[in-house]
Amino acid sequence: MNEEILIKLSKRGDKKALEKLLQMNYSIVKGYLIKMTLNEEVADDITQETMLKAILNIKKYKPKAKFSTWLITIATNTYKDQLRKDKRLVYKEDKDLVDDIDVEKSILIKSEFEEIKEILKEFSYEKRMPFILKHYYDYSYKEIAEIMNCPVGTVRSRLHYCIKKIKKHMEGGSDIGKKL
Amino acid sequence: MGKSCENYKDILIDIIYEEKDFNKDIKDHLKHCDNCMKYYKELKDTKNRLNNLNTEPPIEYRKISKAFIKADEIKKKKSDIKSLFVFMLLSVIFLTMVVTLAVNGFSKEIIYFQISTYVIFPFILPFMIKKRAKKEGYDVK
Ligand SMILES: [Zn+2]
Repeated sequence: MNEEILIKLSKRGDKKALEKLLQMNYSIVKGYLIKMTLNEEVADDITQETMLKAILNIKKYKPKAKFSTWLITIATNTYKDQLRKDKRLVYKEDKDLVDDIDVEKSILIKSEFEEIKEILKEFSYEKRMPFILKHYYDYSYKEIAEIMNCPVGTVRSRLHYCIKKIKKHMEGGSDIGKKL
Repeated sequence: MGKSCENYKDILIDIIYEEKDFNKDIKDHLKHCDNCMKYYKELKDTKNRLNNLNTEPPIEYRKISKAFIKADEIKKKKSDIKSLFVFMLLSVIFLTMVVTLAVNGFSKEIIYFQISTYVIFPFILPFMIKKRAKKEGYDVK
């Protein structure tokens, strides 16, 4: 069954249809939250909260945005709320990565996956969010601005900031590797 | 005056994320500027390496079902609170009416009304129960 029909049925109160719809979009939401929070446990909690909010507010959903986008918007807002409430979620604030490469740490970083996670952890969530939505979900600047509720120019400059830092870090990291 | 290399580098980021097109201006610049050409290649490389983080987590069906159960609990709580509120409001209105009527000398009428209510009530009870059962989904028919 296609998404459009499922959405119509869900909005009329069909639980089975809504359940199917949530199953279809579950991996997207959870994958997004894992990348955003960089913490499996926290991602789990927020995914659960997002599903719950979607069920409670399905009547408010307007089908002009894609269903997955609506879920990602809910997930984003939930994450922001949790950050305000719970300090355990906040990683280090933005630091100048390149000047601050901890040599020992970069030896310990084994896989590239871990390395990328380490880089992303260094960004504040406001900067990490546009990067993740752009890079992994291929949203446009405009869509990201709507999800994050901020100007398009901000989205662009934050994305550029992240890409430049990541690029520098990756090159810097491999330099250290060569020296050792 | 043309754009600086920094401008072009920014545009290159927009290009690899398909926010801008590869126009003639930038193509010409890349032809002449090794620095920006190198930057462009590195950008593409960085973009590819970042894809390693793109793992899709599995669908957790039971967790989705749990969310539905929890949603039902929340909805029930909300409707309980609403019912309580309506009940309180109606009680206050009714009580005010009775007191007002009593003060204005309609005590006799109030007693008549009460008696008739007691007589009629047992007859409407089955209808109320049936309606409730239907609402909660116990209606067998
Ligand atoms: Zn140049």
